Amino acid sequence: MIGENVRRKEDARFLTGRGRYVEDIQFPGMLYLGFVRSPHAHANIRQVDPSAARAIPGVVDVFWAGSLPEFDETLPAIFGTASTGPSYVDQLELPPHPVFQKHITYVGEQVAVVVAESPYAAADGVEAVKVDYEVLPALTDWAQAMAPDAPRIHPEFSNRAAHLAHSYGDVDAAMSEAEMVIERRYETSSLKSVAIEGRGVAARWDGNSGSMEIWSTTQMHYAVRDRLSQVLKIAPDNVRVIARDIGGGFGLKGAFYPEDIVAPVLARHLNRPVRWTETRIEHMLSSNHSGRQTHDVKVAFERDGRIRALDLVLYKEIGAYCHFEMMLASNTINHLPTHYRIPALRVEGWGILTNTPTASPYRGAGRQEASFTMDRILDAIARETGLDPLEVRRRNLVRRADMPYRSGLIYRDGVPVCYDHLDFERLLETTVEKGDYAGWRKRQAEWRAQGRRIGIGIGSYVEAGGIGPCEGASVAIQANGRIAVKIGVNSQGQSHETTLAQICAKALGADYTEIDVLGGDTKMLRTGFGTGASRVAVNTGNAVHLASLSVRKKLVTMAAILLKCEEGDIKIESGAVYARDNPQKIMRFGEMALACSRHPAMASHGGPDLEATEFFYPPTVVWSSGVNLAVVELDADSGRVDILKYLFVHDSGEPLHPQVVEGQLSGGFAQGFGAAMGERVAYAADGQPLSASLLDYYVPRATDIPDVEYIHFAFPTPDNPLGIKAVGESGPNAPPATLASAINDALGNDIEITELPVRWNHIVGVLRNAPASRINAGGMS
Amino acid sequence: MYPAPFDYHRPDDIADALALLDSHGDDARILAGGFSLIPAMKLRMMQPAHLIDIGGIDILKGVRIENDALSIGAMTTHWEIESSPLVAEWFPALAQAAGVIADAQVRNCGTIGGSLAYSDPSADYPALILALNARLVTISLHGGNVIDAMNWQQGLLTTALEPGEILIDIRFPKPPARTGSAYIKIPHPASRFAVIGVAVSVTLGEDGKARDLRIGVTGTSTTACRALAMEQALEGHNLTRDAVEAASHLADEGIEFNDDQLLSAGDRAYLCRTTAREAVLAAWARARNKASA
Ligand SMILES: Cc1cc2nc3c(=O)[nH]c(=O)nc-3n(C[C@H](O)[C@H](O)[C@H](O)COP(=O)(O)OP(=O)(O)OC[C@H]3O[C@@H](n4cnc5c(N)ncnc54)[C@H](O)[C@@H]3O)c2cc1C
Repeated sequence: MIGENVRRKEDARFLTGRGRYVEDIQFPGMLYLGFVRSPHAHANIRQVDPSAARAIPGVVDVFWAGSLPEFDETLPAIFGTASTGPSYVDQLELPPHPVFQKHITYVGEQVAVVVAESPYAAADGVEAVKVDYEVLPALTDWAQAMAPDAPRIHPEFSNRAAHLAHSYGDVDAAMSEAEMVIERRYETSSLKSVAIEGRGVAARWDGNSGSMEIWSTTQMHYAVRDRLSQVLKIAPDNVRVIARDIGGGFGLKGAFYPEDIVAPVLARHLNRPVRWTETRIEHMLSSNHSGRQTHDVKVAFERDGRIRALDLVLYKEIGAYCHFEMMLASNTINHLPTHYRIPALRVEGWGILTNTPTASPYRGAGRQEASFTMDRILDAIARETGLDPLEVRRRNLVRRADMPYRSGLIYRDGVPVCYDHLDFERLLETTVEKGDYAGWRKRQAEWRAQGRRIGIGIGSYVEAGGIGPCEGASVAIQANGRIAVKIGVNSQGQSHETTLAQICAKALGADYTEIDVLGGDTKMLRTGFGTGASRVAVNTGNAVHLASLSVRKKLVTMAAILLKCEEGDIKIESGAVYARDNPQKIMRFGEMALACSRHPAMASHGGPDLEATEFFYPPTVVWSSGVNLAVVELDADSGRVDILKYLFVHDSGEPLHPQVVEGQLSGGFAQGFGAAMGERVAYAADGQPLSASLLDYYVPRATDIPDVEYIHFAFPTPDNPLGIKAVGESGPNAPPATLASAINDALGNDIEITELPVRWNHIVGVLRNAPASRINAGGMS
Repeated sequence: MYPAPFDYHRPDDIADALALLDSHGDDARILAGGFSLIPAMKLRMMQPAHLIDIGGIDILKGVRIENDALSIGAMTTHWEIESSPLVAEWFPALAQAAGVIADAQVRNCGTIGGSLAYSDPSADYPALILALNARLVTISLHGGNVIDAMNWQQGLLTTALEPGEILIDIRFPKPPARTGSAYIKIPHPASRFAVIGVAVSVTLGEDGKARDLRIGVTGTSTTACRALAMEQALEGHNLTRDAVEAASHLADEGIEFNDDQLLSAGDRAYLCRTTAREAVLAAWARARNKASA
């Protein structure tokens, strides 16, 4: 059952257009919200004049800063995924983030909310609200914001909101001893996840029970419940957050937003259900983005290509508020070495406020930046030493024999990073062989003589998934024979209903078709931590496994009583229990549940139900890894990049459902492809967004995506009972590094690509100045 | 995204449409395929009080031969142009251009008249009307106009269309025998509109030399334009690869290009030169194919 490509349970409703999203929620008497948003990146609101808006037919009311006491409440400073152990952070001073306020710090920030009988009237009302702004100077670049005399984004706080530092080994000694030292700056742009479904929230207040029902696109429904119970001052059990069918999350929806408070507060205040759904423009302006990150590196190495030390100073633009400490920078640092040995490392990181929306994790969260930085460094070493980039990689690889390998880094959960049950060598050599690296190098030289520009790139990633603290699952056999698997996480497209049912079917001996996986609703389980950080398969998967085994144990005990035989003689198969020696003695799961519910023996098995709840606590993260190879050709006339070959070799542990694994990787590949080929959230110096619509912000389309060949490995791991590793975030990590490397290889030494995305103007710039005749004449070095 | 309130009219004939346009004046907008207008209304950048949908006026639709021209009704969709055998035979460049506009949804609804009336600086057709020497026919309550393609686009998002006028027809003169045309587009990575689009028409003269070479370039800055210097350099010549390559260095002469984060003006000029070279060669190959057929 585990490891089979069973038919996905969620397909029927998704493929026939019957998913139910927040915008599908209709309650009688529903009102609609529209937000007035700031056109300025930095401003004080002098006055809000709602009179024209209130006069519009259908507009119910207008609210803004100070209208209701709840609007002074702040968004949680650390949302959902707080660090559980020591981190590298030594300074953290975070401006509080109220729901509505008079001090505006980014274009698109909420200024007022219009409540109306229809979405049309709400939009009319938004346009009619008059706001008088005192415009202030804006900062959108970390270097400007860090300057000692820079104006402050929040008067009470330094723009330098956070700082971290960590080191191991003697970096200074290595720098002075090593034969070669280079310095580089690597830039990675901010990205927006642009899921098909934007954010949304529908809220209904029940005055009778004093309870709130919320339909949300959140990835963290329990964290939303807990914050709202504080804001609304009601018991957490009286806040029900349902986040069931979600059209893509990618981390953007793992954050907490002002609208998440505004909607329920207004639903209670007005005693009418309300709904808000984000428009694409709002998504581009107001939703979180990943935040630009700059990496200044100094690398010491020997002429033979071996790295001695790395010194990194990292600058992270965190936007106008910070909700995730220095998680993204920490992720980059902890994933930075990927497959390679860095004997001495020193890192320093700054989190810097800018006049943009908040930076928050975007699938891969910091790993893409790590892979890009590391592989660019390896390519730079190849360039400086004249060695082949593959040879440089081979010489620095952490080998099987080196494991367990402790680099000296400490993960976000406080546990030292340890590579074990991994095989980077095998991944790399498989890539080289199956990708025909030698053959492509030969063709590259031959074709270059004909004026064709081919480039070959290799990129590697590691992915620490499955971070704790834990997840739970409750498994119950019901009297009609169906099995409920209740979980504390929700799905944005990850196929939980299928893969978790597979785990249960195997552990319990149940029939897959009889299992219902129920999640995305705080009423299902009391506690959960959220979908993100590649953590559900490891945490919830193992919890389902453990809970299923517990139920199985009860089944065996009770079957022995009911079938009057020894426990050792009980067999379980396809949803039935029977006595090994007498196939007549058989009971279906449903019959067992019915029989048990009134059986006094259940007193010593936790009560009348064939049910168990278990939590899985991972000791620390579990590491997945992979190597990518790209062969690209550049069109000399347009600078277009054609992908001739793309190979994705990975180890993601034991696959629960191979198609789902490949689906995760290929979706992730597309994301990484976009990051390499053009995705970039950009702001002008005055804070105006330059990528506010899909006319300007590149998102790859299906027809852009090349064929990708996947080679799957599953190196066994004892890290958890099921031996699974993470895969959700693995896909996007290496493609940008790999593609940038291949493109640079095709362009030759006239340019060094140090920026993501790879800029079209940089490619054209080289092509313009290198007429085909020069290539024809002598080829390029 | 929700537009501001508006009234919707769907007249059956041109006279009614013109009367509505006349009576509502500046408050009214013609609605064709809606693929430029509706997005602008949803963003509330346009807020017409009246929409006059001309989709019910049959006479505005379709491709037909009229006298010595191919007449394409303003309400003919991109898809109809892309798939028309007549267009394919007379103006392969036009079929190519229609086929690389956006996606199937847009091509099924968007119209040539709407595109030319909207006059987006990165739209494809503006290059085509220049290369194919089209004339645009408009009508109003007070008569009508026939406007030369060279005079159609007048500035950013502005055309020669007067208030109260409807664009009804785009007329492409029948090409002489042994004429070839081609369109090559370099799409913007995000919008897929043209960063550079070059349309070329050329006739193979009896003497084997190029005649009536016209090169239309779109995407440059505010309006499409002709690459006149390159045209002149090649007119009356045999269009060998070397000759075209040499002349392509003139393709950007006198043209102003956008300069932004995506590409510098110099980068765009380079794309203009390479694209013009390939488009001229493609059109020339078609002309020679016709000659040998
Ligand atoms: C996602 C997307 C991608 C696109 N990509 C491209 C592309 O790659 N290349 C490209 O060229 N275009 C592209 N377009 C634009 C598309 O071609 C539109 O269809 C076209 O620009 C407008 O035509 P329409 O029929 O939709 O006009 P409408 O949107 O209905 O009208 C546009 C304007 O013209 C006026 N108008 C329309 N018809 C007439 C008429 N007969 N007389 C007078 N005024 C009139 C209207 O009042 C309005 O102001 C794209 C559009 C979208 C939405």
